[in-house]
Amino acid sequence: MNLFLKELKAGLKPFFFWTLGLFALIFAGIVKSGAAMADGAFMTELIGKFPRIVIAVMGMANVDISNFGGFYGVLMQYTFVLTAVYGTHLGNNAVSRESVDRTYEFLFTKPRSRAFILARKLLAATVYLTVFAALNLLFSVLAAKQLGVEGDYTGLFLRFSFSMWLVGVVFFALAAMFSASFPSAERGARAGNLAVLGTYALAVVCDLLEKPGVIRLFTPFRYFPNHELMAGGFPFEFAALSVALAAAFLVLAFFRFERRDLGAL
Amino acid sequence: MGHAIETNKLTKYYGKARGIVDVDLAVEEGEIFGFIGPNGAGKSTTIRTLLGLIKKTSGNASIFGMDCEKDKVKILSEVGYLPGEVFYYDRMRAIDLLRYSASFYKKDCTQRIKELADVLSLDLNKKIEDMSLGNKKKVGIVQGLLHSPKLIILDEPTSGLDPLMQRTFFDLIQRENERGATVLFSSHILGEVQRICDRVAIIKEGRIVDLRSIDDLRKNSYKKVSFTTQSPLADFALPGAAQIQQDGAQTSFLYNGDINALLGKLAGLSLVNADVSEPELEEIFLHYYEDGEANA
Repeated sequence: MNLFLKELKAGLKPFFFWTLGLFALIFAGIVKSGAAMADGAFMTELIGKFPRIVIAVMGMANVDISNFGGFYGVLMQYTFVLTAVYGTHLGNNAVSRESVDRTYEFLFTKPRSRAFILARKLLAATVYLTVFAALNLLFSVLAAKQLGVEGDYTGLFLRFSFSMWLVGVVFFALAAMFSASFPSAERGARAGNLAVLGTYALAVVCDLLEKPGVIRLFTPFRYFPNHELMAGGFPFEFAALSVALAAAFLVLAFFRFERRDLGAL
Repeated sequence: MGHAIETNKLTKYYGKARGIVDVDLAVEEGEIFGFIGPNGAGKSTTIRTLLGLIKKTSGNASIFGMDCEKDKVKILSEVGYLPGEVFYYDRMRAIDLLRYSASFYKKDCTQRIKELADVLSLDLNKKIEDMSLGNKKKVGIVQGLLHSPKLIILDEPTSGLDPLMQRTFFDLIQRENERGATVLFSSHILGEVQRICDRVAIIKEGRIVDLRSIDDLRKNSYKKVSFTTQSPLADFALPGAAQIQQDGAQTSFLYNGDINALLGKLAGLSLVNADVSEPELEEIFLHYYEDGEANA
């Protein structure tokens, strides 16, 4: 067994539980979509009575949940958060797990560079993140089919799943950078989780503003807005920004990891 | 013969906290070199710097003439390391961990794993989480030796091993040394270093305070002497005696000198009891401070 396979094996159990959560969220969400659409006018009126900040926090701003696409877009906001948290967990784990488990003296005294080891760990984590997004697509297609949703939404599912993957990759890389930069694993993990929370709060602010402008750049949760994806578009410039940010965070993660002292954290 | 390990003013600070300061070591190829000092003296810091686990603050360190930071990967292919506390992937069986460990080296280690496990009476099919501390240590020994390294670095290796297994372990290390391996043996127990090593460096508060051969250490080593007389002595003095403490009829001191002179002095006293033994490591270090050699 080589390092990459060992990392895949180690990540299997948590992946299974995260996937279970994703499955439950999508199937339960799509089941609810039937009820929402059955009385669409009432739902729209009801939600219209909510304060705007509540609508923004719930990810319902600028969408019409009386149709399946709108409802699915709201559901995807939650899967974006789920993926961001999972990505943070993966990034933090890839950098800090050996130190937390105190197995670093075993692994990092083997004839491999730190960059080699970290690259395999990050690659294994990326595989899980990619499969996670692919399963989002699969579960969405299956749930829609199972529940008899009319119309072909495969393109919509694909756009949302790809966006979800990109958001996950940004948070994954950010968490890896934080974990490599902070002297304690706990502080690294906390920084990653705070980043998810902070950027979600910023996403709410974006939804409250008529023209969020540059604020949008600071929250990956609004790189791929519902209304744009539902309209059949895809913000390629923000996809490129996501890739560029992830690459920059990963370069910094490698840089910091190479220079840090390894020890029990 | 060249140096297996060489450090020149190797220094490591953790922020403002002292790790090691100006450590100069030269371990010859083929020797068993002891590295002794109390807990927190800087033994593990030195070893971790050599292995590239932590980054030096200043100075140089090389193994087989290669720089410990720049040539780390090449160096580690020739090094076997056994840390003081062993932590492995609990859910793995010993054999799986050892195969995983072997996968990092460009050689087939299957036979060697079996041989070492037999010598140490280690059950390879047991899960690591179900093992006692001693058995985990055995797994550590096998993983450190399975690739027949040219340099073996042992950091407090005997903790957790019962006395019988300690003897087996020392025999194993001596066989590795006869095969040609150099050994760096770190410990806070003077007796086990004296048992196996050719030379020893003594480290105290991050600095090397002495470096000598084991023969020299034995010849010049301090003895801990205590005796009880029938009536309290007014005063006791003997050339070579240090840290003399008198408590009623009981006198104790550390002695470094001619053993005949000591026995002659004791013979002239009216003794109830007398004891001459190896001093504790801490007591030896006190001598370094009292003689102002701490910065030597």
